[in-house]
Amino acid sequence: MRSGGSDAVSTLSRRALLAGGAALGAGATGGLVQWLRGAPWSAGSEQLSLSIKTVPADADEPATRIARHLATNLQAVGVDASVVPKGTAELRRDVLQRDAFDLYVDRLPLAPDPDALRSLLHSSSTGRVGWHNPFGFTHSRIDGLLDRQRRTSGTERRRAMADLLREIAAEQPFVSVAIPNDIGAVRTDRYENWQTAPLHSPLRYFRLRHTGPGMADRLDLAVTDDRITRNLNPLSARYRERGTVAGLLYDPLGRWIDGEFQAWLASDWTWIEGDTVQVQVRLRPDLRWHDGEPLTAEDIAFTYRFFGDTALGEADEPVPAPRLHGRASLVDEVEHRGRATVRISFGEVPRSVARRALTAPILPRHVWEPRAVVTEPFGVDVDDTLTDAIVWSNPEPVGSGPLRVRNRVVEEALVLERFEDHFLHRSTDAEQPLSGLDYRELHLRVAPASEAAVELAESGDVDGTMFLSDPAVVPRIGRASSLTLDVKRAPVLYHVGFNTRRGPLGDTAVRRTLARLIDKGYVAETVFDGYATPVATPYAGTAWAPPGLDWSGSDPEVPFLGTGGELDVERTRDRIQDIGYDVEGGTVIQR
Amino acid sequence: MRLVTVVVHVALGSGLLLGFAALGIVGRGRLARLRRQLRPRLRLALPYIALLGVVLIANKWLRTMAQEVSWLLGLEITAGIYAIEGEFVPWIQSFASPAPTAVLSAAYVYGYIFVLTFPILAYLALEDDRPLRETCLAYSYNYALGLVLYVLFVAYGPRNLLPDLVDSLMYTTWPESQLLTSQVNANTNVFPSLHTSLATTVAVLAYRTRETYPAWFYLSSILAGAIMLSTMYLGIHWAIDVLGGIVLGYVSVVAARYWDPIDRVQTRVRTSAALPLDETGGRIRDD
Repeated sequence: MRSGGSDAVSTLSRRALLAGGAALGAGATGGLVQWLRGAPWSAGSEQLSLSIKTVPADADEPATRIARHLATNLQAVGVDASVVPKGTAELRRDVLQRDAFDLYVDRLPLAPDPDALRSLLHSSSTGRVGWHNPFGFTHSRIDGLLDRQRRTSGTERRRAMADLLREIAAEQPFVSVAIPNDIGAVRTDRYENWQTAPLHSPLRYFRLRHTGPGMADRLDLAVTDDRITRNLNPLSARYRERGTVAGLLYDPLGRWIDGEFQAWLASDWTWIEGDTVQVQVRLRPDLRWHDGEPLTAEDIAFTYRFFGDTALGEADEPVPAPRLHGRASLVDEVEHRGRATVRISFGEVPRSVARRALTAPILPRHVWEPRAVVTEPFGVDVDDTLTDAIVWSNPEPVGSGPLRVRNRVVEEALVLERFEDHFLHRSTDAEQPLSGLDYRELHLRVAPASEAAVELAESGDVDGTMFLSDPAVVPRIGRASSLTLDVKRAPVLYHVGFNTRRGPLGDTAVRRTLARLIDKGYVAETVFDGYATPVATPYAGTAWAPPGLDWSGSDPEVPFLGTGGELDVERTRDRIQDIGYDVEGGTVIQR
Repeated sequence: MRLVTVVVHVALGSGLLLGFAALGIVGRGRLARLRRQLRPRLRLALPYIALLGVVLIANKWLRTMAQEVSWLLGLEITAGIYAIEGEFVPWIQSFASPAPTAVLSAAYVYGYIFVLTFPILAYLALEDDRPLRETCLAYSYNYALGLVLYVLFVAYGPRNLLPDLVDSLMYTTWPESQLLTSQVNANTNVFPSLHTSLATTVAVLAYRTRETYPAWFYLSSILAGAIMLSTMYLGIHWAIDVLGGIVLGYVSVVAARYWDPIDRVQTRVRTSAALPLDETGGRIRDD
């Protein structure tokens, strides 16, 4: 039975105290009493104890506050709950690699196509490193629906998806809390054309136009996540958020641009739809990698095979990439025909779903194939197999994107430069989806928190920020005359994940009750200052969500056990007893 | 570059404080003598200052690697600290208002830099080089032991665990300050509070030299108290971090008195070479 050593600390509980100097003294005494109670040799039953892992406020204040909201309500009811803060990469390691958590609060990137839910929830995904069912959740009806939505299209798919989302809401493998807004600040003195794409989209940064004459020397942007200075591996679920920077460095075959799916690395493609679906893709001529090597059909074939198994058959079982695998899983086979043509076969997946696979970033075979070896990193205990490709930090990325890495300073900055051999920068190419970059270098400067990032933008040290998570900066940006506020719904879901492998969390009734301790409307108002939408399902507000899961002032499936952020403790304790747990002396007893 | 601006402002501010204190506490007489004997005194102090320099550079250089090692091997104690201490820091913050925030922010940054740098100047101005040596050694031990403790423990401060109860007061009222502090602090290293430990070290050493510099003893004690309070008031540290810092600060001073590695090396070199004593500044050996 795996356990993180730090989980032992969470059995210490605390009493909330607000009165003067007694706070410290009473706190210490109270803590001691509870500790004695929880000690293995103590007589009497043990209190139910849960730890909630999340990131600290500097990294993502809303996440910390959601965890605190839940922990406070759990404590009020009599469950010993503690919030355990960890750095983002470390949290992801615990959740996505080690299964070492009870609950966690994190952001889930929401792909435009809900087929992404398959990697997240399918029972076949368990036991793999990455965003592969970290919950350890198995449900045969949900498995069936996940498979069905992938093989259907049109109204049939919509129906399957609606059923799927309803089942997920009923089972609560995770609690969908809110969909936030991405917040950004931009300066319009040196660059314009900012709002052509969302803050997380590489297209936004490709399309910026310099207001002055000719090409600008540099573009400076503030970011608050320093993981890009430590690791640039596109496969890493620990170090990637939404793949924005990776999307600047690596190219896919096709991209969504202004609502149309357009050829990017491909020059054109032909879909062959019969019993099975296939696409024949022709690559643009003379594509190059950042190190000068030619990008050929072999790299395409390699990439899709590699995402499916980063060990390339060397391990006992396939070791899929921790992220991006979902897209590659749609692919049955890739054949390269000559240097510039590939034929991709999808089996029975309809074209509208299969298209998703073409948005995967293409990797250079000559760099990644040598990394297809099983590895055991020092000091980390992981039950699931890891390959070098997964843990490698990719310090000098070789992509094919319009920008390549020039240098970096760990924890401080990442400097990218215009890749002159990119097809966007060659005027000879016939059909360009976009014009070339209007700046020579892109400097990504790490700020310690959202406030500091806005400060840098206000003072003119940077031309704008990437996406920020702290809503408290909105008034500040609004007041600054040199800044323009950019606020847009983010394709991200704040959620509370359950480790259904652990005792009480394997029980649906328990998960549903825990879900009801979160007042999502209150969270959206107070934690996000209104810059978020409370939701009952990941794809809320899209055509996929069934009307029964619409937010109507409360969650239709797991409504809050209280009002206006105040928990009805008695009612909740009744509910807890209903589902089979004893409440003695104000504490919930483990079963 | 904004960081440069902050550094310049802070350097100027601290420099001013140093200037006033130098005139008021050290006194013109000693300052004049210091100017005349600057070179020989510096030469004597050089190994100690160099040691401190090496420790500081090693600290900065090792910090990133230490973070990684800390996550792998260290004890995560944030939740535990909160379990024991409860909501003491939120209680302190319940008295927050703009005036104390400004004063304590100034103490946290300007007061701290002043409290660290003034003893170097003040003790350099003394005939007896022992206080200067002990100060440099105590600082070195502070940082070295601090680094070990940072690796052994992973701890976030109250503003990071309890954003619902604790405000990052200094960072919201003076956002540029975070550009400066993030260069020196890592938010996972709040235990123990190095601000507290170094301020404690300075105050204890000031006690030892209270006959020479009585005003400095009072001033440094008040400043140390203000700095300790500021770390909690600003939501940066727990009370437990402050207690840990006091212990670390005191231990570093004791260690500085009884373990002087430079002196040992120098003694060994001197006795083995059997050369006459260095007569340039005249080392006053008190045993």
